[in-house]
Amino acid sequence: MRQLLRFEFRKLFKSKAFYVCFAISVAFILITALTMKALEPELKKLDENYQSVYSGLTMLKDVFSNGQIAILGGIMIAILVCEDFGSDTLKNVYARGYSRQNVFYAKVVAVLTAYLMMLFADMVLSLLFGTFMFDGFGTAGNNYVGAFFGILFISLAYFVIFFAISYLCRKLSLAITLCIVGPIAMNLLLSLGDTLVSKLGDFKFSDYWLDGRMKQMVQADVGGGQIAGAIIVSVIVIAGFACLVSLINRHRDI
Amino acid sequence: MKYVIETINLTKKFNNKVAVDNVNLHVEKGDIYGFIGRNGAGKTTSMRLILGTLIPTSGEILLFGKKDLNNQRRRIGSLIEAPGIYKNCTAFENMKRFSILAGGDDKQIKELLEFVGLGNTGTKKAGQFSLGMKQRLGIAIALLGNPELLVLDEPINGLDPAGIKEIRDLILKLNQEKGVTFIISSHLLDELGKIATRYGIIHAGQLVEEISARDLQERCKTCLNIITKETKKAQEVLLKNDWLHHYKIDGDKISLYSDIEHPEKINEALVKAGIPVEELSFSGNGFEDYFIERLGK
Repeated sequence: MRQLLRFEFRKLFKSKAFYVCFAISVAFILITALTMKALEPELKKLDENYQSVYSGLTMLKDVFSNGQIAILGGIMIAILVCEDFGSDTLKNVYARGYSRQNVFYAKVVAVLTAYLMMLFADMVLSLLFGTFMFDGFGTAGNNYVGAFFGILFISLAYFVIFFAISYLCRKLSLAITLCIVGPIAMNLLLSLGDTLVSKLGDFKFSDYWLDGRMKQMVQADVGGGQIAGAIIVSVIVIAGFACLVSLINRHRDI
Repeated sequence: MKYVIETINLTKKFNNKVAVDNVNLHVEKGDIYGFIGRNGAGKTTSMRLILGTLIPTSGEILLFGKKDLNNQRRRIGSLIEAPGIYKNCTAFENMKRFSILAGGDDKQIKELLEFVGLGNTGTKKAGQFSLGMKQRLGIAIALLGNPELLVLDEPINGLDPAGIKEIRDLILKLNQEKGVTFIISSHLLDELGKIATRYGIIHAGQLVEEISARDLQERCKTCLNIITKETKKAQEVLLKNDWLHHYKIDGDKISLYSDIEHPEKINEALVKAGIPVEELSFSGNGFEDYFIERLGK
């Protein structure tokens, strides 16, 4: 396992795709902050009593709610996972006696590290941009830390979905397409479902999927029940997709 | 341990198509085992099953006499089909990556790259290599970590004559000096004939025959040609006397490849049965004819 991890991390840190996606995600945050800053005078013109709602803490949460980071993460995961399938190098690894499960776990660890590095770098930068470009560090609302963990769990659930899609697809173009289109299609279906059942009461399909939970987490005040719900939905998604891809991988030819 | 590779009723099905059908392969230590068969006969599938990239439908594989296949596979180097290389990396980086898994230090990497003629590729990416260069890199990767067994699927594909000779010399050198065992598939029978010590002939997923190079040479040396107008009757006589095992019929000519030690007895039996034998003669035969005869059955 140690050799597999060294192998995967060497590939990761030599991968241009990793650095490019990393740089783009940073650029996204900077552009978001600059756009908001540029809009401020206009908003003040419209409303004399306008006060910036932006701060380090609000930007930290907002960055993850708009979905750009998730999609970029999906693309990066697809590139990193599909590389060995595309170049047909996985056969060299299996042929040297490394088990399917160990190869799979080593890849999970390496790609997860890359994803978390991107995620944490984006968090730190959004906190810094928000603090220095807007209204300071800001004050944490109710359950801010809990909501932050909820966001982390949802992000991890997205990681598992993107990883599973890429590992099962094997083809880079298909994996990237599914990582981008999949979440959008899912949200459309859930919205349709919500509309159809809206007359029946408060039930919403979207409450049982990641995007709906993410929207709750970025609100100013988040309830304890909502945080617990986000974590439970994320854990179910993580467990489901992880089991699925692990089981299929065990009996798969390459 | 008698065999480096032994398969027992090894079978692989893709959906309902049987690609490898109850194959019992035996590769002894020190062999250069030539694995021969037509396209789609099951050579590559068998090799991939041995290497673990495919999962067998049924049957058993023993490597170095043991069943803990993954541990034993650490002792194997391989090149299957197109070489698996990172196209956006240099030859050195490719070797460096795989050396983490297979063993080997920078010194060995440089030596191997020099050996396969890629020592001066510098910063050129593997994706820009010619087919032959990619094949050489694949061979260099297979040689990392000094494997005891090399599984090579069409290793000289895309190589020029000089490259083919270099690889042939390397195989012989590793086999004779270091005792490395080889299992090699190739369509170039003449090339294989120069190095193989043993052959396995596979056809339609079934192992038709395993034969040593010496036995093969004996069989190829002579073939008994019987020319008669009554080939059907002659066939019946030969079959009745248990002489009709390896044979080919071409018009009036029956060529026997085995059980031909006593041609006088064959002649006597045919004449006694009233079959006019116009000619009974020995002729030499090439590897190719023998394989075609065996694969045609």
